Amino acid sequence: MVHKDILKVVDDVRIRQMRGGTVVTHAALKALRSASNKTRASSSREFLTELKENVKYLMKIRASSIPLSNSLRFVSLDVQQAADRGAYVKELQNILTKSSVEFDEKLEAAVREIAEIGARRIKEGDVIMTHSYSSSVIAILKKAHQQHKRPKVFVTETRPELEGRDVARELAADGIDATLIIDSAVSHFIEESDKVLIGAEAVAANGAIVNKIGTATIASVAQRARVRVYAAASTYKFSPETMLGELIEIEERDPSYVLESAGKKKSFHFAVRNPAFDVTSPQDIDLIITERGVIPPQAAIMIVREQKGVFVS
Amino acid sequence: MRIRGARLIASSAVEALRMVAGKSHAQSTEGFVSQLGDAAKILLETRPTAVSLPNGIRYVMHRVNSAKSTATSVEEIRQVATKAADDFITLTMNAVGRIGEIGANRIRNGDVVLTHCNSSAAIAVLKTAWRHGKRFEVFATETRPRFQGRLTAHSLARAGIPVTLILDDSVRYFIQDVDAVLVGADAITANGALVNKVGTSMIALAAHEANVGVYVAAESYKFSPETMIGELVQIEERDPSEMISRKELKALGKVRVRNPSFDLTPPEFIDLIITERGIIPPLGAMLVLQEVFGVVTPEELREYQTYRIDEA
Repeated sequence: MVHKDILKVVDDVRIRQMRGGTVVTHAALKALRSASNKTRASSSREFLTELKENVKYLMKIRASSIPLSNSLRFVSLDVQQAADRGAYVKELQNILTKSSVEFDEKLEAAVREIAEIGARRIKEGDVIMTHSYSSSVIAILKKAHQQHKRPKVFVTETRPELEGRDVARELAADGIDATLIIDSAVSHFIEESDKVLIGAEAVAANGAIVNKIGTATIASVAQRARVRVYAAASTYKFSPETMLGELIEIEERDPSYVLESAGKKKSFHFAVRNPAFDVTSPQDIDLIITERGVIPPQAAIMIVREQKGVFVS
Repeated sequence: MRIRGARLIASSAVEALRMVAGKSHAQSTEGFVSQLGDAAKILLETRPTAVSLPNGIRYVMHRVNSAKSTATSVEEIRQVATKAADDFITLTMNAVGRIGEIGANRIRNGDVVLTHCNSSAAIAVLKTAWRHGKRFEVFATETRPRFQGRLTAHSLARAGIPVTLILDDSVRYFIQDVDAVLVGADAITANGALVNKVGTSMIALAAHEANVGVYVAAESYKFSPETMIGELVQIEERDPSEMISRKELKALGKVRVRNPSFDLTPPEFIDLIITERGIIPPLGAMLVLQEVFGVVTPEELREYQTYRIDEA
């Protein structure tokens, strides 16, 4: 049985349209802790079975979110190893809490470090274009603003869920000059931009980036206009599975998001498709800003190989 | 009243001009022409980027001005104006039909055609092809901020054509499944660049990179003579409320909004332009301009600028 706290976080992410892979990962770990603390498991075997079910369910929140799957793998591995050593339920609960809090902290520290490193790439008066919601991108821009670099930011509204509005609001609250544009206006405003700065839902072993739908277009428009494209991604977003030839699954979301403002009365005789993410090829990315430094996309493989729980034969 | 689509904008403006001509109480031919000229200037201010509108007005005013010296009565010149307006409206109506017929030949059985916004010429091509028994499928982008793509999807679906509505952002995602991109035009410049609904340029880039043909359906009155003498086509920025309600915007704090309506697609992303005079490569735009407006000198073109909007 999947614990109700797990079900709740899945609903929260879906219904309240929780933003960004980092935010979702923190929420999933919190739910995992809460479910573990309330467990009725009487044996470590039972506890492990429960954990596996919960993890399997949480993975489904966002199939393409690699920090999510990496975090769950990280915690599961610690708990599994403890169970193998013969730990009891109480101990496993403690290990799960410790391990998940550790991951939370690593993720937060990574965003802080990315902000420091990323802000160095921003020059005074730079005009930056960004797309969708990324904790790392917001942190970089805020850091650069603190350093009096006065970045100006074009924020795409990001259809269909319009999370760009949240980004614009958060930037403006810090006094950053933010201009909201429609996604289609990217070509028009790329001429006025110095850099494109995006987050990542996942980084593949070849340096390709999975991110909110529209990112691939922006990156290619920018490359053509000779505008640099930077992707901010903690190493927890690098996908070990892709090294084994797995493709990152692109989730297609409910078409009702697309027709939300169209009114319910009308009946539509056409189909609607709503893929949530797309893949930006490594050729369209100049560099990836990680908490361990700036790397070219082609070096993604090095980061992937160092992931915890990845065994390279 | 809000009128969508360049053809309707131009023919409505010309129709308005025809009404002014019909109702004029001017006592002299000079008075009549100056009254019409004033009306023309007001009409020109309604849509800076729409090329067909000044072309339509130019079409009428050119004939009125030519007749001015020989006309003996207000009634005579009124007839010239009315006839010119009628001719232009007929031309605009027939052009779309012709484009439909010509363009339909480019659609093959089994094609997947992607379109953006709501272009009557592009829709004519698709509907004509369907009527001719071609069987194909259409992806229509929703077209933010005003979702004209929904109208396109609705109109094609009603004709029985299978349509899938997608986000503007997902064009690149689907482009591998697409055989041709077909869009309308707000204006074509002398070098064959396309001014069309914002977003067209990135769609054309995605298609170009994926080796997918980009077809533009454009009536000859969409070609911009001013660009022959180096004028830039102005890109209109519209009210933010099209994108976000005032209340929602206020809740975001000190956020600015910019809302350009059009963008510029360079000729190298365009494979061909379907006009009512036949299919031309984008670099043939110059030929169309010369055919429609004659071999003009810069001096003559500057004359057209009488009706250009001043950048306020």
